[in-house]
Amino acid sequence: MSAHTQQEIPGEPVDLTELRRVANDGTALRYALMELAAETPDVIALGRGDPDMDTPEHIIAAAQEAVRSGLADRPAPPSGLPELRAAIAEKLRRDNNIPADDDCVLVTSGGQEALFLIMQALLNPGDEVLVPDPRYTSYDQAIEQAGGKMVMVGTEPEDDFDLLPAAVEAALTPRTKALLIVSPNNPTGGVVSEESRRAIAELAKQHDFIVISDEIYEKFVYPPARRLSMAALPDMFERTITLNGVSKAYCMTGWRVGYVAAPPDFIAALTALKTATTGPTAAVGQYAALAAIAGPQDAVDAFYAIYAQRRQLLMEGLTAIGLTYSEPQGGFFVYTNAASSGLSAFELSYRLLKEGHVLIFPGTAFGEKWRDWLRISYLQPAEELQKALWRMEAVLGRLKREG
Amino acid sequence: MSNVSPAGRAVAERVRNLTFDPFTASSTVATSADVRDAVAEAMAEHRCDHYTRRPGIAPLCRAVAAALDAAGVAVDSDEEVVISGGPYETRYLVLRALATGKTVCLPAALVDAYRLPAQVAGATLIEWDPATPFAGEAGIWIWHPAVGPLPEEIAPDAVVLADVLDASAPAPSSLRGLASLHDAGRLLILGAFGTESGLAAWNVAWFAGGKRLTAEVGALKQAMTICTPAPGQYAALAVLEGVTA
Ligand SMILES: Cc1ncc(COP(=O)(O)O)c(C=O)c1O
Repeated sequence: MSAHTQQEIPGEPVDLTELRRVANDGTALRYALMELAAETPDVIALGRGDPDMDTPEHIIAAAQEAVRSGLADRPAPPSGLPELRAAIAEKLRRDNNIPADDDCVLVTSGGQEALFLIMQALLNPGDEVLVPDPRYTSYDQAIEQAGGKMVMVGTEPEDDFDLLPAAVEAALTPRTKALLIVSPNNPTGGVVSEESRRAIAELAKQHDFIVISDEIYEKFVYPPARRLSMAALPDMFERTITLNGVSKAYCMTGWRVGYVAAPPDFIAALTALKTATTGPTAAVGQYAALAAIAGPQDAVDAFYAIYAQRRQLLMEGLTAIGLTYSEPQGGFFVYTNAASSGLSAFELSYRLLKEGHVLIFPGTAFGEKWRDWLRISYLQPAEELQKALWRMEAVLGRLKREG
Repeated sequence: MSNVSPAGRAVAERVRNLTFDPFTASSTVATSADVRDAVAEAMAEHRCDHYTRRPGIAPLCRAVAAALDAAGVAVDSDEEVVISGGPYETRYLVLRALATGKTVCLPAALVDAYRLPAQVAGATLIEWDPATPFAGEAGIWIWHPAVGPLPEEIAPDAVVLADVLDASAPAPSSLRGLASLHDAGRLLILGAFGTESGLAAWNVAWFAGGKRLTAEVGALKQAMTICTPAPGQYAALAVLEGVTA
């Protein structure tokens, strides 16, 4: 029996009790809230990190062409379509200053599969992976499945959620195999500063650990923050595993294409693993990804401008309703402190959903200690965001009156 | 000086021991014009752009459940069907979720298909020869329509994986013999959409069966790839609609 039965928490609505019961980890909590939101009329979803805009038309056209010509029916090699690997390697050299050749690239079924394969390929039972806290909790499952152990490295709002080298160094042990960097970060929107990156690179070389750099939100970095790939730093390519994909940059989450870039010997091992387990990535998505990566980038510029505007609107709106946050420097999330509501983030997100019809994830979906925090994604048009802010204001006002 | 990179040196034991098997799957079968049109339309209408419902798009789950119903096993399309990312992913997922550290008994014809995923998942394979009584104990049995009924000596709590991945939609009544296993929550059926449909490169298949088993494998599926590519799901739906049209 679960410790949280309806009887044991008097007065709590059944849904909330049920949520507590099923949401025993961050990922389960996010999905449980999404299911509740799906039954909520007129809901404004500021939850999931799924871009609300369409996949650009030239990408759709390329995919349709691959379907009509029959190319989509031919299985690709397990490492990916050669032309896509070449386009990715070129992009990495041109945009990220990463010295990657084609054989340094493996195409995967989304960044998610990439992170799963990376952990399987890297970790022996008991190996430790340093993970910034708060975190995208899907990494937990990937690390656990590989028998690895997560070791948290705190990031704090007063540092703009930068990953500080001192915190990394303090967490190192003889079992440290790798450090995970997600920059821009989900959920905080933090971008690891150049100074931190350089110092962390020195630590990696000195203590011989691997850096896994999740750069899936790289296209959306707001000045003065700057993006910088770990693998581009001196002598870091050989010990960095870069993860990326088309989901977030091109509004292509449904196509399921991601990739890993690393030294060829690591990519060969990863390819053997993919061959043995999931096989090649769907061909049709790879043709779409090829159009995305090798084609014109104006759509990404347009997405960037839209997110930048929404980010501004959301920050101003949150300030107006009395919530604080550390200014997000990248991605499409604002991580906001809602302690002033007097409720735990879990209860607050429940009340926002039930009473305000706004879906927002509580910080506890990204780490146990974030009980006062909410992650708001700005993946809705500006008018909807504005409406969501009004609804939040109304719920927060009611809570204040209730005392 | 060695030319092994630090990342290459860091590769885990389980991968070092993996005999690299060059991928041999090749398919010359093409999708039909109807399937291509249906997918092109789904793309044009931007139905492929976003993560789909976790277990798969609802009409496809319903269509799979309907085919299973006709084959003699009734599943709830909402909670007992998951659309997976192709036969390879499906076999690996079930072994990884259910068979790590266990013995898996399977017919000789399927040993090749399961050898590598079993190695990575840490499952031990034992060939099941219908002609000889099976003496050991296996937590998992893999059944295939070509091998006839399951042997008598199967443990009462063993899980049965009915692998019909190489078949077209399960033939009417073909799974009726497994219905009591399903009632006991011990059956998971692994299937695809037919070798003649041309979907080999589209990464779409499914698994269905007992609620607990489906949820367990489904949770791993979600952790591993979030959801199955949307284009393949619309292609599979068009294939099934073509079959029943
Ligand atoms: C930090 C991070 N990495 C990886 C992913 C995986 O994305 P996908 O599998 O769609 O490429 C996500 C998705 O939300 C994410 O937030």
